[in-house]
Formats: sequence, C-alpha cells, structure tokens
Amino acid sequence: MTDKKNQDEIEPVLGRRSFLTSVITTSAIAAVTTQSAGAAEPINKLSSALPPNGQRVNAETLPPSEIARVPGKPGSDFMVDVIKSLGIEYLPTNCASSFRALHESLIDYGKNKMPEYINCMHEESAVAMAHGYFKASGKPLLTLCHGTVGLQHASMAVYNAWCDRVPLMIIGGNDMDAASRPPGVPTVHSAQDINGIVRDYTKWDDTPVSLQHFSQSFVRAYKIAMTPPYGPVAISLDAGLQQEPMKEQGDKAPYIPRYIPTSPPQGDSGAVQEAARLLVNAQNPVIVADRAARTPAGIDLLVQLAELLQAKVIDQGGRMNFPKTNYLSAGPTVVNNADVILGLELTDFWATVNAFTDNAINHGHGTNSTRVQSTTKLISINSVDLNTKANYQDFQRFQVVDVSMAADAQATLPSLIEAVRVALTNDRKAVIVQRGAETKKAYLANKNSTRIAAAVAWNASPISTARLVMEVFAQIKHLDWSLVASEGNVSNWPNRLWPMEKHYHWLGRSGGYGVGYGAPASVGAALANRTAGRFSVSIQSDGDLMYAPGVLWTAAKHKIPLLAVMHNNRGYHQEVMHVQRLANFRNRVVNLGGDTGPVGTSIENPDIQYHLLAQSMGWWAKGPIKDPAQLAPAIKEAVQVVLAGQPALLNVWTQPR
Amino acid sequence: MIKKYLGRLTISLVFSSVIFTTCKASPEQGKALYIQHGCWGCHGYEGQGGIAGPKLSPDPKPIDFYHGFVRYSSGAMPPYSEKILPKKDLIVIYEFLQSIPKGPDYKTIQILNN
Repeated sequence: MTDKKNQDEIEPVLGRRSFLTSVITTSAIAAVTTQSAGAAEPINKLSSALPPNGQRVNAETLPPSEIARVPGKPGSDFMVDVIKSLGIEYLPTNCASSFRALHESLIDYGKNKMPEYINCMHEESAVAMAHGYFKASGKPLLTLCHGTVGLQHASMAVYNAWCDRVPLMIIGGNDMDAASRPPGVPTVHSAQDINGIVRDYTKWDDTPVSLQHFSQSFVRAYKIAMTPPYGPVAISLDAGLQQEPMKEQGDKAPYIPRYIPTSPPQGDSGAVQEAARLLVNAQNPVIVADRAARTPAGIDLLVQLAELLQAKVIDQGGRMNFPKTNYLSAGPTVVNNADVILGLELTDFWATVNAFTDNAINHGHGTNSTRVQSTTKLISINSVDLNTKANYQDFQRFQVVDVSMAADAQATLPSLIEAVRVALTNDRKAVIVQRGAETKKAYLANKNSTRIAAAVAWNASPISTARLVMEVFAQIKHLDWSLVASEGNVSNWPNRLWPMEKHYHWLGRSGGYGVGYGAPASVGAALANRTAGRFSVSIQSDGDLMYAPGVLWTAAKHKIPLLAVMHNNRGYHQEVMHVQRLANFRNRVVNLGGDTGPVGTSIENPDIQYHLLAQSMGWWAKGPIKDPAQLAPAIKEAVQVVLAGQPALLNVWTQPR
Repeated sequence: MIKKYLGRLTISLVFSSVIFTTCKASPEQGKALYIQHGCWGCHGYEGQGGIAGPKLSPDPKPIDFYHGFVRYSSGAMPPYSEKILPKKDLIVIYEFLQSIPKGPDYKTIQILNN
C-alpha cells in the first residue's frame, strides 16, 4: 500500500506522458540556474496553486532535450483520419501546446493537406478567416484554439459567426487531467469546461473522453453545424487523449462514422399554401430577404418567386440574395405601401416594419413608429426560430407575424413557388403584369437618382466614398470579381452601384457587428476565391484593420491574392456620431481634445501609415492617397499585383461615410 | 407636442428672417466651424450627405430652414442649442455651404455610367 501510494505521487510527474522525462531534466537544469541560493526544488513535488515560478515557466517553454518514443499509432493520428473524412480544406490556426499532438499529426502524419495549416497570428483572425472562407465557398473550415486563452481570443469571431449563421468547427485543446497535466502554464490554460466560454453562441459542443467518442462527436458536430440554420460548433479535446496511443475499444478499433447531410427543415404545407394565397391576392406584395440564399440556387429561386408575383425584393444584405440588376430589386422604403410582406431569414423583422429614432424623446429612450399599414399581413420563414438561445439578444425585438414558419427559407421556396403557381388565376396574372411595368419605371428612376447622389463631391479631398467605390469597380469590372468584405460604412455604394448578380459578388457583413471581422474574413474569402479563380477585393476600414493586423502577414505568407482598398476615415465613425448626439441631448459642447471627432473616437494624431504597416508584412502597398485623381492609376497598379498572386493594399483617405 | 414644436419653429423662422444677415467670414473659417461642430460626421466634409445624413450642398436650402431644423430637430439629427452652436457660427457655416461649387454632372462621369 505504501509502495502504491508513492507510485501515485510520483507517477504523474515522472510517468504518464513520456515527454515529461525531458521536461524534468529541463526543470532540474533550470532549478540549478535560476535558484542559485538554496537547494533545487524536488522534482516530484506537487505543484501549488500559486502562479508559476521561473522553474515552472522554463519547464513549459524550454525545448525538451530528448523525447521517448510513443509505441503504436498516436490517438491524434486517428483524429486526423476523422478530420480528413470530412474533406476540410484548410486549418487557420494560431499554434499552441494544448493541441501540439494534433498539430504534429496534421502536418506530418496528415502531410499538411486536407486540411492545410494556415498560420494565423490571433485566434480571432483564424475564426474570422473560416467565416469568410465559408461564405465564398460554402465549405466549413476547422480551427484549433488553445484552452482558455485561445478560445477567449477567438470568442468575438465565434459570436460573429453565430449571428451570421456560419458553420465552423472549433477544437479547443485542454489538459483535463489535473493530476497529471504539466504544471505551470498548461494548468493555467486549462479549465473544467472550456466550451462554456462559447456555449451561448455555438450550436453544440462536446468533450470526448475516448477516440471513438471523438470520431462520433466530430462527425456529429459537423452535421449539426451544416444543418440550417448553420452555426459554429466546439469540441474540447483533451491533450492526454491526443498524445496517448490508440487503444482498442472493446474488441475492435474505433471507427469513423460516415457523414450524411441532414435535409434542411421545410415549411409546413398548410402554412405554405396560406402564404401563397396571401401573396397572390396582394395588391402590393414585398419580399424581404436577409440570409435567404444559402447557396447560388437560393438566388435563382428567389428570382423565380419574385418574377412570378412581380413583387419588389428588398435585399437586406446578410447574403447576396437577389440580383441588383433585376428591376424588382428595391430599397427598404417600399415596405411602406406593402399589403403583404414575406420575410425570408430576417435578422430583425421588427426593424423591417418599424422605425426607431434615437432622438432622446421618451425619457431618453427614443421613439418607435410603424412603417407599414395596420392591415399589412406579415409572413415569416426563418430557420433561426429553431435555434434561439436565451442569453445573447441577436433575436431582436418581438414582432407578431400572421404566418410564421420555423423552416429554412431556401428549402421552402420550391414548394412556395409551386403553391403560388397553383393559386394564380387569370385575373391575378393580369394585375401582376401591370404591377411589373410600373415597378420597372420606378427602378430606372431610382438608378438615375442614385448616380446623381454619387456625383456630389466627386472631386472632394478626402475622397468621397462613392468615388472610391466606383474607381475600384472601373478597374475590376472585366474580371470575375468578388467583394469579400465592405467594412466601415461607405453609404452602401457597392450595393447601390455595382451590378451584383452572383453569390460571391457580395458576402454580407460580420453578423454580430464585432469590429475586426473585415480584414481576416477578407483574407479567408480570398483564400476560397483563389481556388475558384476569382478576383478578391475588399473595402477595408481603418478601425477594423487595427484589431488584429497580423492577418496581413498571414495573407502574404500563404500568397493569398487580395486587393484591400482602405476606407480610411481616421475614426470610429459610428461613435463619432453617437458621442456628438449625446452631447447635444445634454446641451454640452462636445470635447474634441484637439482631434476632429470627440475624444476617444478619432484615429489621428498620429495618422497610421497603413501602407507601411502592410509593406512591413510582405504586401505591395501605396498611400496615403488623398487626391481623387491619383486613385485610378494606383488601383490599376494594385490590380496587376493581385493578378500576379500577391496581396495589395491602398491606403486611401476618405470622407466619413 | 407637434403643435408646440411647430409653434417654436414658426417663431424661430420669423425671428431668424429678421436677424440673419451675412457675416464677413471666409469659407475656410466656415469649414473649420462646420468640422468643429460635428456637422461633417453625418453630412461629410463637403456637405454631400450619405447614408447617415442628407445632402446640404451644393444648393443649400434657405438659412431659415436650417435655423429652425438645427434648433428643434426631433428626428435622427440631434438638436443644436444656441449654447452648442451660436447663431453667428451657424451663419458662417451656412456661407461655407453656399461657397461649395457644384460638382460635375453625373452624365459626364464615365465610370458612373458604364
């Protein structure tokens, strides 16, 4: 009994993980070198709850001198087999010790292919790259995060993906066995339940305790992530499970379950027929789409429905839902005269049919007003109704609707189109044809007024956002272009002026409005577009870039061609307006503190030389460009660089919006 | 509430018609005040407007309109009291807006018409 007890005390340090032999050697050396006074700490002493001392830090950070061989196939090699079974193409990741075994297996056993490691400098960048990649390709990526610290870095980007209904796979490395995990840093970076960090905004998570459990959970996680409504999923992966050799489970080795996609949920047939009846009999039906077109087929279906009804379509831009070149494409105000509104995967139905004015009336809360008639019928098809969680408030204010389907819009459109066809009488067809003619006239008039607005301040310096956007388009319109991100508000000019038709012409926004999405999501989408042979361009705002500019290095490192044209308005402009507004409400002169915007909102004095920042990380870059006449030649030059396979950045000083 | 607002607006319009005259400030001074008071935030440095605020120039509306609207706005634009934006500053800003030349006709801008 005494012998056994001694073993128990010593084994966790000397035994279980053979690598620790070398750590101990290192620790002993470090103890001699760093603790010159007094005897070295006994190597088999259990670690305390105190912060790690120098010896412990050295044990974690110094390279092991020799590593004993692990017999048999490592568990992490089997994990690579599982990952490969799902055809995951890339692995944007910031390296870390808690998944070192899986890392090594991926690049050596897995030959760094399917998935290929993309070297990221921040977990938030890695997740946002996966976010952008999915929207350009329709394929989810995997990212690895380091226990507590890496997952906390990643969490904002995970929230964006959650709000934007984007699937991605997260594996968080975690040293779970408190009795045997390395002391010091690995222990500080471990937790009982790391998935708890992101549980409120992931669809599902698990903590496998065996390799068989891992393979089932990984395939299950993928299946859940890829079932609409899409969303991120997380697996907490024990470092011990990664490092240990494979053991047979019962009488056979662990197997890899086959992935069969789940059919997306469709609307109830009775509700679909009622929706069709309302739409066919409406005088002025309007369709509003936010994240309706999950795939290119979704755009075609929406065009079919809209043309069948000659109904105007408001594309709220969560995805590219409807071609801007179709005369049924309309602005948000057309809901005002609608008698039936069909909302497809709307983030916020309330704000679609109501207005909020931030005017300090109503005890500072602002005023609410309806934008539609009291008799207007509302129809909703929204898969998010199946997946709402309680804590984070991305479900928005409650809106009563007349026909509500908890279903995937794209999957429901074929049956809705058929139901509309069946419900159409000859009388209604005649009315619908007449409606289409009127809509076409309004579309052309609106196009002209948009151009007139774009021409105002055309020659201004700093450069107007309309000119910025159109100078870019003039240089890429002959290419198979993809606007991978448009962060920072440029008055929505790309959507108003560019002939967006294909699903990759517009990839939407962050979802959760978490600033810092634009730069990494652009690089991720550009990675997908590189394979597809598309030309990637982003409108890159200044504040967004500075959250994690290290992604510029990642793009250069992996030769990801991307034209980033900066909307450098030298401030967090939304907050410029917010603070000014509050100062006015309180009858105070706002404190500018020597800057252009209120204290804390400007990014100037000194001005950031973004072009130099990009150059330092391997990009071709130019700037600052303030004269609009210099813009076209600079963009032309940058386009050639990108076509040659490199990233290029133009630092352009712009108007605020 | 609306009646009260309209009443104040009418008084202010009448009042402003009487007292507003021109100032002898330069457009540069006007632009400096335009920026200092945060007008650029929603309307752009040239008053061109955008998604956050309407166009102010070229061809600004009569100053009486601005005086009433700036002081008593209850819409998206926050009101500017006399303390925050004195009348004399408003006049100088207005003159800056008047001084901004018209840009090119959109029909002459090739890249807007392709």
